Parts: sequence; structure tokens; C-alpha cells
Amino acid sequence: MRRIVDVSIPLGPIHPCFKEPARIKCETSGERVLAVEVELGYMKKGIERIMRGRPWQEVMFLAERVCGICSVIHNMVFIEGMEAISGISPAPRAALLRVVANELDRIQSHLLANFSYCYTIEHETLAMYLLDLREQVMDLLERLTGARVTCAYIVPGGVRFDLRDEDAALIRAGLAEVTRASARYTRIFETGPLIGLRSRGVGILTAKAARESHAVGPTARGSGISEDLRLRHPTYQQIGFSPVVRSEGDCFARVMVRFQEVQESIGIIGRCLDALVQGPIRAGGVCGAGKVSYSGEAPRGELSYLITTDEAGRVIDIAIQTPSIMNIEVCAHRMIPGVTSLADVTATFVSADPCIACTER
Amino acid sequence: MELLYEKDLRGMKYNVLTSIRHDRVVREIASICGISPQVIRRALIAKLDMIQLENLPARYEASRNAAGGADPLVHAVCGDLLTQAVPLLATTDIDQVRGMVRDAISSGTPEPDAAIAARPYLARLIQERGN
Amino acid sequence: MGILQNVKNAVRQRSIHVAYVDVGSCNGCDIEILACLAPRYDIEQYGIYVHNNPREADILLVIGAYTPGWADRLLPLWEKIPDPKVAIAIGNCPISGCLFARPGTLIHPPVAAHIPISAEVPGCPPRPTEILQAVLALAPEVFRDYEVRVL
Repeated sequence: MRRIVDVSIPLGPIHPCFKEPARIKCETSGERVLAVEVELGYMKKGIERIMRGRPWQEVMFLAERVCGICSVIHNMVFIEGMEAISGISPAPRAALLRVVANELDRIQSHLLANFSYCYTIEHETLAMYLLDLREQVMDLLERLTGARVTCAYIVPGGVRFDLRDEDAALIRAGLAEVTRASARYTRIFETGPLIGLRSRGVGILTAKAARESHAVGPTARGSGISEDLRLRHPTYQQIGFSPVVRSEGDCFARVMVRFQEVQESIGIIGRCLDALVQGPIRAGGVCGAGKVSYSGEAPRGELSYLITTDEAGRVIDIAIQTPSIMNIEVCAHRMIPGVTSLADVTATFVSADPCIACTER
Repeated sequence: MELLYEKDLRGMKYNVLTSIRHDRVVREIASICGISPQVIRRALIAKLDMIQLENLPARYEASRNAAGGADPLVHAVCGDLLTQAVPLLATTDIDQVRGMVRDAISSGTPEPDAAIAARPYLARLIQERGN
Repeated sequence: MGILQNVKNAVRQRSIHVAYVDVGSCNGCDIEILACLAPRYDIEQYGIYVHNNPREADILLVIGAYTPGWADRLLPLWEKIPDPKVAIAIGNCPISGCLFARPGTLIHPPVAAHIPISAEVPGCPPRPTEILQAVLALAPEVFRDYEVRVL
């Protein structure tokens, strides 16, 4: 897209507010942003190209490294896709442990996203509170899976390690702490007058625009679209939960959706630990040939894998659609045009929780 | 003109479009409009920015799943697809094509034939936008 | 070696400005650097400030496996950092490309082939404490007697 514009202000690729390199060029009139062009290509590693022709044992680790923030869900969706191809069903205890790992990952991802937002609107106190809380959740994730970021916890038929009873008690105690702290921080965010000025009514996304661009996850749920793929997952159906939806559609709503989902996730983990049955953590099975399109709810929204394998379990063809693709598009072309100051551009961009590593793969 | 901060993104945009999902969508759009995939790809690279290209499959599916509320004539010349789901053409372009089809219908051509007859014009429009 | 130089050495190693640049990673290492800011590790107690502005940085943390988009961006960025400066490679990606270095990939590791790298912290991803340790170990070496060495 080569256009002649009057004033074009580029932000990035290196920018203090962005965790990752992306370049957004804002066409402005005064301080009002008229249109935005996103320039990517700083993170394109070609993971899908590397994955082709490799056995699932390797692809599983590559899938995890599509995104370092929400690595558990990439692992889970790829492995459950392979299970769907090969007709393997996970051991009941393992299915619940998967959900615990996934929800812990969701909590830390949401806390990180809210940290970034608070840091961007320069509320550093709340940002640091949230980052400290995230470290506590990372400890629990490490206790369960053995690693902080790339855990490779989920394998076909089950999970890698069992959860000891004393560790389960530690997770419960840790989450009780997180519940108290996050309730307090939610209240701070909800009632803070300056936060309200920077967030309420900024970067509005209507439900119609969200549907057109296929927005997903907290970005869509902040605009009143009640869609959550966890409702279709058998283990989540067994545990039961209700998706968080808000109708305002502004930055405030998106951040609040994430705060409320943290509480919801803590509830899910508690119910999973209650329902935990004794038994093996791995079921048998061999990965075989087939083709599947499998989706799951990542912290940022719908994540889908299109996998084709051969008899030996090698991945012939794979396509990954990550939630950030849709969310960044809707953010750049629907939320940001119309904001009244350049300071709101970064805040709005961060409120959609963009993950460039996912987007470009 | 030597540009200081802008660079040629065509190679990287092409990399985006060669993923399986994207390639399939490009081919589907091409077959719907009756144009070669190369022309569509060229127009897409010229007209859309990188995040819109990445989001092509999701937008395409969203427009497929959306209940049709569009004008049937616009739908017949893929107007909803080419202006909203994949913003290649402006609405004024589509209005022009729709006008042509309506004229053809009022002069006695049956509707499906008229829509097909408008295809070469649509293809030329897309090709022009790609340059 | 005057007293002034000693004072400079002492002060400089407790005032380190850090910028980080992601040249194509999975985001895992970025987040571990961000975690260093958390009150638990409290990077600022050592006088390290992360503000991601190359023009006032002393130490550049490089993450990621060098994607084609950086071909004409990373070297200019490195040149914008004022002397004395040093670059640290964080994670396996800048060292070897980690598991992205396979046939068909778009990346061009190692980063050391493009800008001078002084220290490497392997790991996928390294823990925040390891990153912190690397920065703290390197900082005194970079700044010690800079004027004496260079001028």
C-alpha cells in the first residue's frame, strides 16, 4: 500500500511501550488519527515451513515456541489435534491437570497483558503490583510443570508429570493469595480516576466491527460478543464455567474482562483440583495418519491448528491461525482510527494484547 | 526516489500469502471472481497492509458465515466479498459494476448471465488497483 | 589513574541503562527480561534502568534469531548507541537459532555475525536471575577505565 499522506507518524519498531517490534504508521490530522498501516516482518521465522515433514515429537516443541507467553495452549491444541487424528483419549486425571496448567498460563498471560496496559498509561504502581503477582503465578506453574515458560507439559494421551498432593495444596494456598491480591488490584483499576480518564471511552470497538474482522478472545468479549471456545471443550464442560462479557467495547472493558477472567480461572483451577481422580497420567496410543482442524481458547482468543499427518506421525502440512492476527487487525483498522491523541494510540494498541511473535510465526 | 525509512515490503507480503491457509483463500477468491490467482495476489500485495494479509482467512470465513443481508445484485458480482471481507475495491467501483449488471438485466439478459458478463470488467478493475 | 577515574568507575557500574531489541524470537525471552523489572528481582536496586531507548543505552540485550526484517535496521540501531557500549545475546536464538535453525527457515543466526556480541546467556529461555547476573557481571568490565583505554 503506497499512498501519499499529509502527516504520517511512525511508531516503532523499537518503542518503549511495545514489548515486541512492530511498526504502526499513523496518518494524522492534528492529533486525531485518521488511518493506520501496520508494518510487520520483524519476527517472521517461518515456523510453519520448518514444521513440514517433521515427526510430531519435534513439531510439539516448535508449536510451543510459536508464542512464549501462551506456550501451554499451543502445546495443548497441537497435542489434542494429534489425539483427534489418532483416536487417543487422555487419561481422566491428565485431562484435569491439562486444564490446571492451561488456566495457570492464562492467569499469568492476563496479568502480563494488564501490566503492559498499566505501564503504557504510566500507572507504574499498579503495573508493578501486577508483575509481582504474575511472579507468584509463575511459581505455581513451575511447581506443576517444572518450567517457567516453555514447559512441554502436555503429551499425547496425558501429561508429563503427576501432581503430588502437597503440591496441589501449595497451588491452592498460592491461588488464595492471588485471589485476594487480584481482587484488590481490580478495585484499584476500576475506581482509579486517572485510569478512568485514560481508558473509558478510548479505542471503542463496536460489536459489528468486531464480527466483521473476526475479533476473538477478551477483545471480542469486551465488545459484548459472548464467544469462548472453552465452552466446547469436554473437560471444561465437565468442570463448568461462564464466560466473562462486557458491553462497553473500550480499553477499560478489555482490561476489566481480563481481570475478571483471572478470577474465573482461579475458580476453574479450584474445581479441577477438587475433581482430581487418582489414576495414571498417561494413556496408550500411537499417532497415525489423518487430517484435522482443531481449535482452542488461548488467553488472547481462538487459536486453530490445521494439521495433516502421515502413518508415521509426521506432519505433512500445518497452518496455524493465532488470535493476535485478528485482534491486531481489528485494533489497527477499527479501534485506533478516531482516537484523539497519539498517546492513546499506544494505549489502545496494548489494550488489545498484541503478540507479534504469534502473528508472524 | 530513495526513501530513508520505507522499504519494499513485497517480498515479505508474498511470504505471508504463501502459507497454506492464505493460499487456499486466494485461490478461492480467484475462482469466485474468475480471475487468475496471480492477479489477485498482486492486487492484494499492492492494496492491503501486512496485518490485513495475515488476517485474510479469518475475514474471509467471517464473511462466509455472516448471514447475507447484502443486495443480491452486489452479492452476484462478489461486491460484499471484494469491498468488506477483502477490501480490494471501493464501494463506488462496485456500484458501477452493479449499474452495468442492472442495465444488462433491464435490457433482457437473465441475471446469472449478466453477472458473469460483468466479470471481465471486475477483473480489469482489480488488475488496475494492483498496479 | 587518578581519583577521578576511580570515582567514575565506581559510579558508572551502578548506573546502567539497558535497551532490548527483539530480532525474531518466540517472545519467551522478552518476557523473562520484563520479569526482571518485577519487584521480586527488582532490577533497579542494582542501578539498572530498562527504558528501551537506544540513544541513552549502555547495554543492548539482543533476543531472537535475526529475521530478514532486521537486515537494514539492527546495525544502524547499534551505531546509535553511544560508547562505551556492549551487546549481550539472551537465549539460544541469537547464539545458534535454537530450534528455528532448520532447512526452510527465514532466519539468519548467529546475531554475532551482524553486530559484535560480548556475552551470551544460553537457555530457552534463561531465567531472570541469569539475565540479571550476566548484566551485572559485564557492567564493571565495560566501563572500567574507559577514558584511559580509549583516549
